[in-house]
Amino acid sequence: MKSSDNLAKLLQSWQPEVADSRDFNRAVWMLIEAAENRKGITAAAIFSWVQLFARPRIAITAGAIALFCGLFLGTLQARSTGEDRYLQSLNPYTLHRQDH
Amino acid sequence: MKRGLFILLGILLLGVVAEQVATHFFRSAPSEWLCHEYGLTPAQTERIKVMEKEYGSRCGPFCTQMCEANANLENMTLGSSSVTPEIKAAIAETDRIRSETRIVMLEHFYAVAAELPPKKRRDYLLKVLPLVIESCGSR
Repeated sequence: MKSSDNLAKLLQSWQPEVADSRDFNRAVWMLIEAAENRKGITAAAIFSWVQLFARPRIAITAGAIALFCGLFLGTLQARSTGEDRYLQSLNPYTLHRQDH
Repeated sequence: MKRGLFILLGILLLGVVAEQVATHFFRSAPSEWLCHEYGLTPAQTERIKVMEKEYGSRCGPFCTQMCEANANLENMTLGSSSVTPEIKAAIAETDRIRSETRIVMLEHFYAVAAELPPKKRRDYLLKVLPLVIESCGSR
């Protein structure tokens, strides 16, 4: 009996330190919202540079660079395959296949 | 953002198309690579072109013979369960054709090398010899 009295006293003296449920919910939702906002900002920051291509001057410059790089790489590619194509042209079996 | 993305994709596509067009447009005849690489004169270039035509006409028949000999050998080996004298003869025939082809090839390589500057002949032969001599990795 004595132990149950002690328990009753202990329970009466105990003050829960949990926040008000309304505040708690609001705090959690605020945290979630803040996290969502951060994610949005990061994605927007990563892809914001794509927006630059909508500007005509930048688009034209980038297009010219792409054209130049493409032509340059294509020229290099054409030259680098020259040796392989020459050796292939000496192979009699390749010559035979080209004839037929 | 979508507009920018489409324009960016268009620019990338332009680069790829330019690369393909340049590769196709600047691709020259195989002999032109040789002439450019070894700094040949127009007269030497013309001689090389003539040699290549001659080489093609000399090698063509060998290749036809080799294809026929290989087909014959394949038929014989599939229709037999042991190495018969006929199969041995067919193998020897493919070897004979291959050897003659290699001799023609080598003659052509020496003829081309003779047109090149003396210092570059060895370099040229090192490039083309693997076509007639199977390397065991010693070079």
